[in-house]
Amino acid sequence: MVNLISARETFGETLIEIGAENDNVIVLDSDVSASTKTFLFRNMFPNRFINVGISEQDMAGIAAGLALEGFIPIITGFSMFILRAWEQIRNTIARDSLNVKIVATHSGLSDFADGSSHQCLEDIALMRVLPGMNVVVPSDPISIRSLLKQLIRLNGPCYMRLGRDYAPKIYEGEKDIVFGKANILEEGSDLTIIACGLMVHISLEVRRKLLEYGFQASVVDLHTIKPLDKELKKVCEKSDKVVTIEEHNIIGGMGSAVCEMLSEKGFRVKRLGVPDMFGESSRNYLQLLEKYGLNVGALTKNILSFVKG
Amino acid sequence: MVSKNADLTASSFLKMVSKKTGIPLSTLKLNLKILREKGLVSYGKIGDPKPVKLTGAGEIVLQILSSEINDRPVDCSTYVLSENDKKFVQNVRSKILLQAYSSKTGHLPSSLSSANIILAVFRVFRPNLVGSENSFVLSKGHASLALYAVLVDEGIIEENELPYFCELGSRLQGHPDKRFIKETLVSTGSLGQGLSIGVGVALGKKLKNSNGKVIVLLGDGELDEGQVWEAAMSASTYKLDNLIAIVDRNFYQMNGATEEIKCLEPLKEKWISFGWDTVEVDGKRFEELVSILQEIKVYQKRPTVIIASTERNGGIEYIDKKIFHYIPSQEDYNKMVGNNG
Repeated sequence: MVNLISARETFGETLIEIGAENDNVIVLDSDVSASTKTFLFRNMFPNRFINVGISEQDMAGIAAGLALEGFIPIITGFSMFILRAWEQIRNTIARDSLNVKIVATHSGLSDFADGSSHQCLEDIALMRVLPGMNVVVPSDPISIRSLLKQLIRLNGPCYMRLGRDYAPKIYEGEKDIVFGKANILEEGSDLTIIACGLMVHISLEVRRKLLEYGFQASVVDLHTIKPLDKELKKVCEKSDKVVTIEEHNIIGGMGSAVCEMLSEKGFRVKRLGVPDMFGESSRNYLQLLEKYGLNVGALTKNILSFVKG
Repeated sequence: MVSKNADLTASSFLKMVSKKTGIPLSTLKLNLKILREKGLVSYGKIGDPKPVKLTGAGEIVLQILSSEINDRPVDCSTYVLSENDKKFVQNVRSKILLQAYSSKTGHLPSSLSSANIILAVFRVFRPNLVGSENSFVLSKGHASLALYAVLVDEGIIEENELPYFCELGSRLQGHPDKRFIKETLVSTGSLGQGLSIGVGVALGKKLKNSNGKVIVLLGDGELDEGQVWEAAMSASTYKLDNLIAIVDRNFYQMNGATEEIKCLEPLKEKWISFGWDTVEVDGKRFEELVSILQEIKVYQKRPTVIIASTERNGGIEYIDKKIFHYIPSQEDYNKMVGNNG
């Protein structure tokens, strides 16, 4: 039985399942396997694990080469430092549609203590702008497992964004999650909250709070940010008010993607996320989220003024 | 065994060697004495101790013995340039010129500099082609004119496509683009990335138990990029005896001489210190390139770099080697084609 404790541990455990099912999967590490939990895969399949050292650009190139030889390489590392290889990902992996999977851990503010050098609030924007790149942000351990397995079956470049640890359970079964399809978790007619990653869990709590004020919100898990679900308009059809919540810079992320699709359809969209700034250190993840307004109280307040206004 | 850096007297040096090797001290003492008699090491006497040092001759011996291919003279007699080859070499150059002349764009000098190298790589390895296990990455993607010229010889590109280089709708993109020509293997154009890709392909071949070789052509200017050296370390770490890098050493990059912009020398020693076998060849001589590639094809022990000295005008004297962009005139082109005929 897989021990569903944290995002990165779920990732490490799922890699073992994937490695056992598919001989072509190779995991590449940029010397952070203790932190990303890819060492679990290394222990099981040492011949298919390559620690390239602290050299993310080299890692991206090596992965491209392995994909050219027919393997399914998975690049792993902290999301912030995988961005160091953005140009390599753009110019080789994305441009040639190579079958490379990128799994980035410690995204958003989840690397709370390490501070702004390690916190990554820009990756969704930078990855979704690449033609042909599939961008996925799972919300809980079950969806990490489900989506990772689906990405391995999909032929082409993929980016999966994971937090560090904190990942409360949302789903019961892996079959509930389908790549490319937004999941309606709760229905309500006053507004639609669209969230991704940890913010899905927070949004479910916000929904309960809004009920106390007499507002019924739908909550949608938009785990696949690219390609965006073509039925998103239908998903939001109960109300013309849409709120997006993400642990990412307010510019260019999931909320921007939603606006790009819904702006032509007559919706009013309020985007909530980290203001256009860098993070900072905290000894507590949830306190850091609160500082940037990503806690239940602040989000509820913001949403109330939007739906009332 | 003999370290040129350790500041040890003969007795402490011998004790250390004995401890490491298990060889009796008395035997080692005699051996060291013989080495001194042969002029390979020097050290002091009883009462006047001096550290054990390699002599100049000793260092040369050590250098030769510690690497497989370093400094080995290239045996060019293994391949003799035929009249046909001369025509091939000339033809590739005129095809390069035709593209640059027709399009009024492209990197002519860099392409001329690489022409013989790419031609030799395809002659020996036939990479990226159907049925070949070998792979070629043009890391210096701006030498695309040369790659396209060679791909005409291989029947991948039609000769009548050449004048359309860079024209909207042409397969001949400014830099090799796999979406248009799959035989380029991988899209390049952003410098410093090809060697990492080569490392990945070489690793993949090993995992698949394929005997294929991977050849990566690097410009000397692109060695400014740190990623090249990340990849160089990866290659020696994984002991990739199926990876060959070729440096097109023409001593110029976009804005001037490589040694003035970011000093590359001592270049050979850099590669040696990164764990590569190195060999220096005259990249202007097609037969020398073919010879060394044939040699490495049958015998390679570790990642190997060929530093090929070239000229950015490919030997066409009226083209200034120092100029990054050169658009040939009608006269240039006629001269070249005339030379040909």
